Amino acid sequence: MDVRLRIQRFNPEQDDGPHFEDYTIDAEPMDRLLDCLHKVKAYEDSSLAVRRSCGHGICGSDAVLINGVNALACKVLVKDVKQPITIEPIRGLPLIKDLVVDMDPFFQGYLEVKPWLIVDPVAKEPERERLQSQEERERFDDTTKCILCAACTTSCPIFWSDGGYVGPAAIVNAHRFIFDSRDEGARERLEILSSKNGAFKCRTAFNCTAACPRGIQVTKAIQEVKQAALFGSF
Amino acid sequence: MAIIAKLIEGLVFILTAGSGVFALYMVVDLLRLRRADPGTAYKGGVGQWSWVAHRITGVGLVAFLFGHIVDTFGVGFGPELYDETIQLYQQWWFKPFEVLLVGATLFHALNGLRIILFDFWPNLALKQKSFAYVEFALFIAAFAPAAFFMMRSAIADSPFI
Repeated sequence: MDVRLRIQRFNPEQDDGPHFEDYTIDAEPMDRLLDCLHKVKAYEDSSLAVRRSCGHGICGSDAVLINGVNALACKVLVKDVKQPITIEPIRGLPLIKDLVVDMDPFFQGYLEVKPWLIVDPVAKEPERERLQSQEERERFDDTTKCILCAACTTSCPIFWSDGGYVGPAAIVNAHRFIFDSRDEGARERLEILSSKNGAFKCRTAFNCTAACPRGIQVTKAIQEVKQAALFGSF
Repeated sequence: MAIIAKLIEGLVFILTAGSGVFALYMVVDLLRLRRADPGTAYKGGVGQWSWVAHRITGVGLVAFLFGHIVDTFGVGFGPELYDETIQLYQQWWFKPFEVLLVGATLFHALNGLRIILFDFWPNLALKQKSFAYVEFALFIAAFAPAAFFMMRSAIADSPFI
């Protein structure tokens, strides 16, 4: 079947600003949008810049704006979206070329919350594994699923207008450690997330929860972090 | 005295109309998002649109409060001036703005309560859409009769009927 695509193009060496270009390609209803982008690049215009790596919804490289909603191009099927299919780069991050954006500000926000295990290395010289009950593991299970695709952060209206906000993805990854019984850095992280650019910038618009390709309850996690920061309940 | 009253009236009118224009500018600005972006508005769900409406009604209410402070300020010059200023609110053509004010206050209050619920009980966030629909139902149940009675008196006072 014929599939009509409207892709946002931008070549920083030639164009003043981004514009849309239309393509019609032959694809099957069960093809993924990533396959369509590959076809455009292979048969229509090889200069199309697309970021992708695994193509199976795990690496989180190909988050794009599809018909006005953030999603992974490799997890959306042609039959599930209305034509013409509009594909734009994710918003709120500096545009580099076509569908490729600069992810540095996103990862900067992620690193701000110290997304690694924090333990006192002297007091807790590891002699054996750090054991954890099933209930303790269950507490933060949802937020372990994050693949850092930035679909949530770049769907957030607050992040669009204020790039200083750490964003939903960073808070989700802070949640993953704050509620981990083995971690001792909760206070440190909550201090960072209580600051001006932290969790309280969230205005519960729920775009992040709808955009997450992993089905993480992002807004719920952010609300739990806010509570932990307020009441010290973690 | 009459000149001061007219000045205050003018100021109230400018603040009211200005808040409307500013609120509209906010919608455009919020939805275009990036200046270089030729793309469409993000198609978020009820959460995004409630948030947009919350912002707009919030700015509108603050602007009205400024106007309201200005007209109450007239009391300092005696009851005659205050009565003359407050005449503005009694005009039939001002009533639709008052209806908007009631709507903005109601929506902002109800939506604020909905957001507070999620703040204190994060688990409720899982049912956010249901909460939004309940909020809209409550809003219509309270706003529709208020708007009906206010507009009925405005239409009765208008010179066209």
